[in-house]
Amino acid sequence: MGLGLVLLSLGGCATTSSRFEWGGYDSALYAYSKHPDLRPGFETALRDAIAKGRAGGHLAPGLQAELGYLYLGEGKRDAAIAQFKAEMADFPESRPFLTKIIAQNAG
Amino acid sequence: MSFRNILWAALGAASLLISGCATTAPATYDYSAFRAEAPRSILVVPALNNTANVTAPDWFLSTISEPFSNRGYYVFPANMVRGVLNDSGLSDAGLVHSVDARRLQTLFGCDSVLFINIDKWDSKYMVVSTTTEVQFSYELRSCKTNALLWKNTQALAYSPQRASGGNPLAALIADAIIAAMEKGKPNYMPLARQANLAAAASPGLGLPQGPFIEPTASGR
Repeated sequence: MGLGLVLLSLGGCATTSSRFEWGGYDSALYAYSKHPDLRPGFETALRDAIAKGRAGGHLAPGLQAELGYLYLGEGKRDAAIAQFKAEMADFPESRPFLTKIIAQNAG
Repeated sequence: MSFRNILWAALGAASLLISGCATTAPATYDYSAFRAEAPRSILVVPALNNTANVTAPDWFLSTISEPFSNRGYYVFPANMVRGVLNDSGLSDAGLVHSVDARRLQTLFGCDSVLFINIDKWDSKYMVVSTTTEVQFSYELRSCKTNALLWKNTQALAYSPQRASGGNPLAALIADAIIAAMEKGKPNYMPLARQANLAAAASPGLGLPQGPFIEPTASGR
């Protein structure tokens, strides 16, 4: 009982009401950073978080760009550019950066 | 030992654990430099590690975006930024931290850049658990002028085995993958989340609310 209360109070401290839908982004990115062969897991986490965020109206900044960057690394240039354009449409703050990335990968 | 004593001991341990998020708030931060610029976007670059814990920077890169975006800012894609920095000859965190923020502006078009230093990471191994004492400093600089806009320091004492409550299910599942992946090594994901949240959102000391107050269907 006492320990239960303690655990509850800790949980309350770590809880955040999130403005955006991040899904399993942080853990999946950490895993991928430590083990590059876990890239498919990171890609899946990104796709899930984007779909959920879009459906709920809480799409998180950067996720579409992250997914596009993974596509670039896989040689899927058109799919990558589609993600970058979607990111720029949703978050104009990314335009200068992603416009440059798209130009570098055009043609 | 009576039940009551055990309870008090547990509560004492808990208050130690949560001391990180219930930081004593002395004065309010002077936000005049920050407000003069009112940045909309934050570029997060890899943390500079001043400790012997080789994994520490990865915990930060992955956990920084959520709490800072939640304050209402566009946070650049952390993994992509790391890749672009590598391609630009800035793969070393020490090098990135030493460049003028205005150079990062030409690469990313950022309004501000967040530099994190990992200053302390000491683990004390005890009979039943490990307590890790950590200290991190956060510095937000203008990408237009390189001026300091905001800073914060977090010092926490943390026991990985205890503080995993309250996470969303998706995060718990992913954390379980990390636990399986790094058998026998502590999972510091909750620690990094807690430190970054406290830095970003402490009343009077964290980041002021940014421009993205209410998300809409398109994500804002």
